[in-house]
Amino acid sequence: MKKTVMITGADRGVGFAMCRLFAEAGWQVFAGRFLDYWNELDELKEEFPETLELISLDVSSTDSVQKAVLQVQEKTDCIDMLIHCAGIARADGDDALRKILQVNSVGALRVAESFLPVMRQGMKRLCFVSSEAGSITVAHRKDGYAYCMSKASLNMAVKLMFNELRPQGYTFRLYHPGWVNSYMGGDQKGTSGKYEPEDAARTAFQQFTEDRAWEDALVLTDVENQSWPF
Amino acid sequence: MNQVVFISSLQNEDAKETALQFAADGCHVYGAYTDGAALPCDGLETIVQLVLDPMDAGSLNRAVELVSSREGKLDILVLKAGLHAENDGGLGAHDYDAVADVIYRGADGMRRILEAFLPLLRAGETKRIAVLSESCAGIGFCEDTGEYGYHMAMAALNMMEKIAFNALRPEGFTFRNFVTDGPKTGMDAKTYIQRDLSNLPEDDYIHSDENRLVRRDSLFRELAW
Repeated sequence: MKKTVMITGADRGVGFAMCRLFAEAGWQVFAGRFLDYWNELDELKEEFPETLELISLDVSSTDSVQKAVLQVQEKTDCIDMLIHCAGIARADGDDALRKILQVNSVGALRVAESFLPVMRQGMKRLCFVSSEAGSITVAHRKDGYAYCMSKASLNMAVKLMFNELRPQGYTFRLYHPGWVNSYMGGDQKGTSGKYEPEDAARTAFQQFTEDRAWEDALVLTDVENQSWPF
Repeated sequence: MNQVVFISSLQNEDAKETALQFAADGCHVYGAYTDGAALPCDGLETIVQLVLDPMDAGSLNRAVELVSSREGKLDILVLKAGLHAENDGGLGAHDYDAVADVIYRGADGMRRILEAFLPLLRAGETKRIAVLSESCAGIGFCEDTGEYGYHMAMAALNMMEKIAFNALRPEGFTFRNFVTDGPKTGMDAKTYIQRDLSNLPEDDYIHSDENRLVRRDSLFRELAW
């Protein structure tokens, strides 16, 4: 039986690259789609018509996430792996942090809680794309408060989930993809990063699908397989 | 000369206790309720109490003007993520807007207070910014399973302090992060916040504790982030 994975933030960048890798590996992939006008997922769907399902999803909306769960449940009663890749680096307005939180950290909690009922069987693995920007120990930045605060709060949310769910057999991944040429700044792909989305996705796929002898430790790991302190 | 101290989130017991410690030491202490609590609160007559909405620029300006008109400076600013969401237990179904609001007001609200008071801090002699925290605010340390909003706000506030440290330490500001739920012996929050740390201006953090941001408890033990 095919393993199943739900990936948020699948439109482009690392999320899209992971969709392709999981589909190529024979997984049933549910791709959370936020941008209707972005057609990379449509093209991927043509390559994998049987194993790729496109799911409309705004992780900042509880209503949207709940509808996504229902849409997934029409196709399967078990999600083996959940990957929260959706993330934004900035938002407009005086309440920018609040908007960023609703995607990066509260969004992660919203998605995880909503999909847990379909994760009680199977692999029971929850994966979250975080960032070195959430590491307080090594934080070097002098500005960019909102993004860094959102990622630190994401790491804390994952730790709270880990504390409750690990004794129930769930396993966790917390991943820093590195400085990627992605679309965090908008529709224009970045060019000054160190990695391409495919590079970050390749390591993520390996880390997310392999079991560890140290599952009882929650560690932020990166694209080079190095570990980061919180 | 008496130090001037401003403490946020006076609705929180640790913040209140710390405010009283500074007042007992002869400091001029201003304490702000950030949850809309009514004034005044019994037993806090030695503290100038005010209600502050950190998300409202007018409210922030009034608080700064109050301290400015009376003191002309601020020596120590103490911040605390002092808000909790209702029904914020373990995994199930959260009120996500409420969780986001607790993080937003509890962490970004403290950033706004810091930025509003920066001119007064620059006018003071001490230039010290402190965060009151808890052991469970350390992500690696935390063993809790609920109170998502409060925990996430504390982590975000710690990150805010680290970025502020990076930005303001070269200007001469010093920073403290004190864990209040340690043993009830050793240093109290006021003592830890007031004391200077080893500081060799010509040296980096290897020989100068002021040139790194750490969190410690009452026994001066360092706790992981």
